Amino acid sequence: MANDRRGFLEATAKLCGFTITGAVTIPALGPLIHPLLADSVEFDAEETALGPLERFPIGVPVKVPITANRRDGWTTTRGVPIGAVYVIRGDNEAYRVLSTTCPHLGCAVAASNKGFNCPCHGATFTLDGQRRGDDNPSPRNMDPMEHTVRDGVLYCRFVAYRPGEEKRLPVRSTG
Amino acid sequence: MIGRIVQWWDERTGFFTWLRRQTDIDLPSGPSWGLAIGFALIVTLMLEAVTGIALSTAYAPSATDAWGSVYFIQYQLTGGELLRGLHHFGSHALVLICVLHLCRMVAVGAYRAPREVFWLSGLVLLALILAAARTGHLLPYDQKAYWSTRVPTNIAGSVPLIGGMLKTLTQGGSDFGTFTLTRFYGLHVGVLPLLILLVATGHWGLYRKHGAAPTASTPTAAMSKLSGSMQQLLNWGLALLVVAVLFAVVAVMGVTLEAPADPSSQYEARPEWYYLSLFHLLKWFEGPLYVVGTVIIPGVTITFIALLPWLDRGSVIGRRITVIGGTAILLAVVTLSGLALAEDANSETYQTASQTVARNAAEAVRYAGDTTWGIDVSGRVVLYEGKKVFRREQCAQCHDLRGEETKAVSAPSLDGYLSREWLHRLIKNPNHDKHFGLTKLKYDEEEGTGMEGYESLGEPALSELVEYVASLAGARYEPPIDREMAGRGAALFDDECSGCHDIEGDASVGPHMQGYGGMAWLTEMIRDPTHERYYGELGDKMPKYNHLSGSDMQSLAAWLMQLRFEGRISE
Repeated sequence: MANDRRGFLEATAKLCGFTITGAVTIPALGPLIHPLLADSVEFDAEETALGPLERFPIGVPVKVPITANRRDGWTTTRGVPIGAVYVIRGDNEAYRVLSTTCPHLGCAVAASNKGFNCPCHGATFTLDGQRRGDDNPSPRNMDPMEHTVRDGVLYCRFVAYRPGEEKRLPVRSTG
Repeated sequence: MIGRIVQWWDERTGFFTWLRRQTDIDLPSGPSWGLAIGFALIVTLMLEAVTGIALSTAYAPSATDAWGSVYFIQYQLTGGELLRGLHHFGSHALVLICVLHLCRMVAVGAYRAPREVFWLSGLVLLALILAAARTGHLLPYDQKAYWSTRVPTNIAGSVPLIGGMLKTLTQGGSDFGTFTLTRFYGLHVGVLPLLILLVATGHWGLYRKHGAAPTASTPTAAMSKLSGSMQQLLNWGLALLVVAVLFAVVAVMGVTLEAPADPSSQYEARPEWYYLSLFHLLKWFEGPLYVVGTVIIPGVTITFIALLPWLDRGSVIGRRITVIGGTAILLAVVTLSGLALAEDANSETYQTASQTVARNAAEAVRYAGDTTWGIDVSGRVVLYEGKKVFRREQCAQCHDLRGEETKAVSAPSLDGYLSREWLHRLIKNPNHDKHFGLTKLKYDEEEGTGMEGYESLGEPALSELVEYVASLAGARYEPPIDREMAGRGAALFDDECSGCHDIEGDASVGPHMQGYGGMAWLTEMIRDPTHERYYGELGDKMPKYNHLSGSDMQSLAAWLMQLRFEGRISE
């Protein structure tokens, strides 16, 4: 009899204990899992002016840094670099805008008049951003950016893509 | 399954046997709710530790980042508001439970020999908990934190001889700043928790050594057998009640974050509820007597409580001293706190100030969430600062704005400023009272000054013109600028408006339109409205706000530019 009652008392006490542990621990896990639920680093994906067309000579890659408003945690910084692009002007007013980020593992690709090569693991690309050779470590061609010309100025919409994957997927869903 | 794991582990480590021995305590008077208070204290301390560690992963102790990080925790972080609420109200619960625990100990005389050290360790624990709460309250670095911490640091400064040094050491310098926060943070998350753990462990060890203090009640034989388990249930039951109440309080009251600390503002600082008696006491001592209220009376009281084991050794007189002294202290605390509360409740100034504080808090939090400006790297909530400049410079004396007190409206209304509706009304009828109707710029046919209304253009011309003018600022609109419509508007502008409004930014009859309504345009116009590129001599009713600093001007212009998102306007 006394043992039954003791068992009941102890079980109820334990239940209270577990409830408290859960109630306190679960909210404490919020900060831990937060990065999986919401991105605390983001930038405005608005159009960026790359410069007047005269700035881009035919066949020579020109590197242009992309600046944007960046929200990092609780701070908003205006006009900070978030990446860079190469602008390649072809014949007949054709423009190509490529991200400087290597699609292999995210190093910055170096440019020459013949094409691009990545100093980290040796990926090489043509001036069009196409992969060169069969043993190229890059899983895909360089990432092209959407661009337009308005009133003699070249604009692009910068998107960062995940490196290391064959498919071209944005790092984050920009909003 | 769990039972077998426990057993396996216990056979190899003895951990659970050890744990059971720790909680196996002599209960001469049987189980009671009173004894559970101490246990609730332990659980609340654990709650503070767990929530505190979680909060520390998102908090940044610096004068520029503290407020922003707490804003982030509360309004962006998953479950952050609950977490911060539990931690905040948990500290209040700790103090309350400590005081209840202490009162019960006095009531049953649990400090008498040989429990003197036990008693003193409890008082040290209370002091450490108060210090942890106090250091924690500064960390959000909002108005309340800032102003309510200045007072105790200045009290430390009033201590004779060593005051100045104490104050400098507390602040980490001659004034509040980042070092105040890093030092308070270090104390709050490192030094004090370690000391609390140490003293609490000692306190628990002494409890095991001495057992529960015997009281008048004696348990029945049946209860005696079960007393251990029964006490366990009471312990966990009370702890669960405390946690449940904390959740309820967070759900009902929520935890507030006031506007960021601003040394230039007016603020009626009030301490936490448990310091209200001391706060009120200070009002009775002024000038050289100040130290009586800050140091002497609290010091004598604490000494009396600490010396209870020696004042009351069980004799009738000793007991009487305790009862009279304890009652007097309780009565004084309750009365003084009541007086402090009553005074605030009856003070119109305080009530108005509280409303302003609440309004500022709401505005700061709302503007901090703005995705364009938000909180800049120097920790300023840009749009909130802009609104502060608007208030400080008393712009609402002439410019009408919803929610702001105004004296005599004599300038364009800022309700929905630069919104499509606002521009539409302006172009349709610039002589509307909400635009230039009350100013020298009102259209005057004889003088040939001002601007006629363009209602006759009709639709869709007016809307196309609006779309074009709106596009000039290069700022965000909701919905975004329709480029095709704006293009048609540009052609219209060329035909109808460019005679008076230069689009290249040169001086013309009316204000120039280069980047109209944008940051540069607004900044230059506010610095000198009478400039020939703006309103000329007819704009001289508005002062030249040349004295504004660069950052103030930027905040003001940014704030003006987002008024278009703040509510719709009427025709």
